[in-house]
Amino acid sequence: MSLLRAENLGKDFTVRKGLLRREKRVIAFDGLNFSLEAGQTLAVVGESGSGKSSLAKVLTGIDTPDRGRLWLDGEDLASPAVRKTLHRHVRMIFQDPYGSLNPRVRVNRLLEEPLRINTDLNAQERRQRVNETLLKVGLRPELADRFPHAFSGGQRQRIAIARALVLEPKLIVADEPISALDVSVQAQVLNLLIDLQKQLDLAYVFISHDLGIVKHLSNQVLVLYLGRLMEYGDTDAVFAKPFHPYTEALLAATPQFRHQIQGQHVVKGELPSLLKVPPGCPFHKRCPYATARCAEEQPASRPLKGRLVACHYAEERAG
Amino acid sequence: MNRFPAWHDWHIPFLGPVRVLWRDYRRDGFGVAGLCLFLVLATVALFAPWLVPYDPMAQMPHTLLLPPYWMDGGVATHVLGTDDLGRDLLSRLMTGARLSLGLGLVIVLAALVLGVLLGALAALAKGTLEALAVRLMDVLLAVPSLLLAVIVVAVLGPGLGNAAVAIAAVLVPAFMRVTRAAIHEEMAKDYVTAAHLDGANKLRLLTRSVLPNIVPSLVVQTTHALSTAILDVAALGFLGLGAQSPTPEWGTILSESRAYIQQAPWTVTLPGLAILAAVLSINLIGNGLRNALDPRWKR
Amino acid sequence: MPHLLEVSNLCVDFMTPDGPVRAVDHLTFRMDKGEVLGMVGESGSGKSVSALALMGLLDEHALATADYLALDGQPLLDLSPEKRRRIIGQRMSIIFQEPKASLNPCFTLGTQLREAIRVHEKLSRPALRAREEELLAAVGLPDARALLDAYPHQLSGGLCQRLMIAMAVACRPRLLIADEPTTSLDVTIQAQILDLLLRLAREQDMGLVLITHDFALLSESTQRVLVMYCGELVEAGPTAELLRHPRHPYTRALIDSIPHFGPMDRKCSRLQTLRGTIPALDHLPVGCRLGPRCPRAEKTCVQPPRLRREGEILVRCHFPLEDYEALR
Repeated sequence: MSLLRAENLGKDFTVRKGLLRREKRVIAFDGLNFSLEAGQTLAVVGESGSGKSSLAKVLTGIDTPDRGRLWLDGEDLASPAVRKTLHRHVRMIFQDPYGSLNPRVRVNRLLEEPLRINTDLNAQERRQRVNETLLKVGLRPELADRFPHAFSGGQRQRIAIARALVLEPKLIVADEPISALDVSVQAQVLNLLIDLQKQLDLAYVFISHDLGIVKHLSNQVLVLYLGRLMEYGDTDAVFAKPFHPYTEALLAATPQFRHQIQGQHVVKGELPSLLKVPPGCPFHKRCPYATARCAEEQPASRPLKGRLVACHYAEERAG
Repeated sequence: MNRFPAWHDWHIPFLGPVRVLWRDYRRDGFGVAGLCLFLVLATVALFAPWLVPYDPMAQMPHTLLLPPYWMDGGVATHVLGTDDLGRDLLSRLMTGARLSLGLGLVIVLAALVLGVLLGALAALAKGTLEALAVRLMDVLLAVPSLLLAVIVVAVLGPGLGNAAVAIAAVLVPAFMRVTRAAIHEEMAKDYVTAAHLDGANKLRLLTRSVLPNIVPSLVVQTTHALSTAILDVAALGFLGLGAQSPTPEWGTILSESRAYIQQAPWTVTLPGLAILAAVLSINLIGNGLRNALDPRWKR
Repeated sequence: MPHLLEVSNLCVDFMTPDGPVRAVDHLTFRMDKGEVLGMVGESGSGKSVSALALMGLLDEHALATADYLALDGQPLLDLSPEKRRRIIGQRMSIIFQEPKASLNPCFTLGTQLREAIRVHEKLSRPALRAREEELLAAVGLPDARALLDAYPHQLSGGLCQRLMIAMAVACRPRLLIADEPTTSLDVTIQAQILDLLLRLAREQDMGLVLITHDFALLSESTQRVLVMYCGELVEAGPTAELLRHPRHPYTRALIDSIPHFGPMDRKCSRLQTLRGTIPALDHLPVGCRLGPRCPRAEKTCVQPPRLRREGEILVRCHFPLEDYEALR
């Protein structure tokens, strides 16, 4: 049984436009299917407007999905009782460690807060759990009575990781957790995440735009474009031979993988706005292989060699 | 695995928010001067009953309209001279400081508590209720505060207590607006979402996460309100709507002496200077605090 | 042939309430004509500050000094500040990370582009129009006159960055400094912008300085790289050689901390990193600035190392790495 499973998951948001503030429903993401086993990492890759942050909000229970179903450990998250305890099992790490830690709260209080709310540990047990967790993320517990501003960016992200871990979750949703850090610190935090996964059998949903990190860390990758699933499958296989032209374009735009891709390296055109998603395949206007069919008919995502791909020509491209 | 690197602990100075504030505040000379002036005034106000050389109400018929010590005819026993009834001006001003500063402080604290409460409610309200609260604040803020206070006093009747109620009521909308705006701004930040994901409910979010972070905005607004309150107390006293003579309130003293501005200018100038000093010191403090709290000044 | 840019002992001090803090410490480098030079470093390394100092864009809290500064063989330090500013304005341009923040939100992009052209040359209306179209075509936006009526907030970051580049090359500069030009952009757009910059540099025989924290970005596009750490140049040399055999442990760490990059890749599952974080500039360690973080540090390292030449490479280290594997 998968730890996390999504079936045709979809979420809309409303925007108000114009003088009359008319509401317009915009699809944040739609038709997402994926599953994640305990102790594994699912990477969600996409550019701005791909719906990856909206997906994080749905997975952590900040938002409710508008379509489709989501199971955690076999329990349907549509049920209110399950949703109520969701935040204990699914925790989140944010991108900006400067914004995600309350600047007016000492670190030990910050880490104790989830325990206070969600467990009935007494003060001493709480303190002990906090100290253990701090050690796990490589911070000295003696420093925990300081305020967040006394720590560097990398240390703050360790604190944020500790806050996620303190409730002993099964799944951590990490939204670009290292992209705000300095390069030499990024690798430290990445190593920490990998070590913790091994020690604690954690599952990660790792949202990132950096394909090098995705390849390094993840078992599976979910490629989104304008809220639609483009390609989903085993990371190594997808990186070795992308079936979808968009995945190929992403790889071609990453210096580390550019040499694997033949032909044109840079896709043309701008990212369309979510308010004006082109009809047909959302990527067809930028796709070097697009045909007339791509402009008319939206390709459904379908299984192909153990992956899901949404491209009319996936079979031919898979060879 | 790379454990915590001990070597670089030392270079990040550990200062609590209050000490950081003091470090940044100290850099502003005017702010420090304002703080010193305010501390002097506050000490005088606090210990006035023991410090005053004379009873501020005692009329001394032999020493009417005595000029201050440094002017011709002044005497050392009445350093700041006397008024038309022979009351010692220094004693009256010192006692008046209690009323102006003390009452001002009480007024502002009352307005702060009420304003923050209502502001928080307004911030959490949705839809029509929110719109209603915001418009009401806009309307109240559009009326000049002194005018509004005069209207309130006119309804309640003159007197120091009623004036205080009126001024406090007038200060509430500004606190509400600052509170609501600050809460809105903070609510959008990641750390609030993170606290929400810790399982905190709305009340806990507001009191534990958001409120401590809007303190800076409130502190600045409080200094602003305090100087307004002191001015308004004096103004209402001067207009005869606040403290009634013979209460030694600065505005009332000013109004009593108005008739002697030609003969005895010090009886008008000195209370005026007292009001000026109080308001100036608070404004300097407010300015210094705003600069010290402004993130752009931080490294 | 004179060098395009010569900088000798550039220092920048920031005046803080606690005294001056040196953000760039004796930076010396040269650039050839049409060269693409990479400058890589993390926050506080002084890479952006030195670029701002060269452009004369530092604010009044900063003091920049240099022993020698020449553009196209013309020494600039002997000139009056006004004249120097004019020459720099005509021959050098800079673009920044956040195109939207560098554009004025109150004016249309057309107004801002025309302004950029007008500063440098007086043109008649038709000529101005022609020049506009020429610039738009040059930045890959042919037939895009409609864009010129838009305000910055109406366009995507990628389009704004293209227009920023159009403005930057409006004066036909000899040298373009791009400070993290693609960092705030989406992956596919990053590649477009980088391609555009390289093409413009080639076509217009313009020097290009690419400032970034991402070594991978520089690997294919630059001829030489300067590696900065805490305000100092720690290593400089031809890109390929530097990637194949970095001499400085910091350069090595920068390469190793990027997954699937550099010669060490796939040999171990953990990324090799430096411990600790970048020290604050007002609390620099004694001696070698990398010292406390360096796996090879020894007693000697409390003495500040000097830049020395190792083949084609300049390196500031007492114990330069013998080969790529030497760090184990």
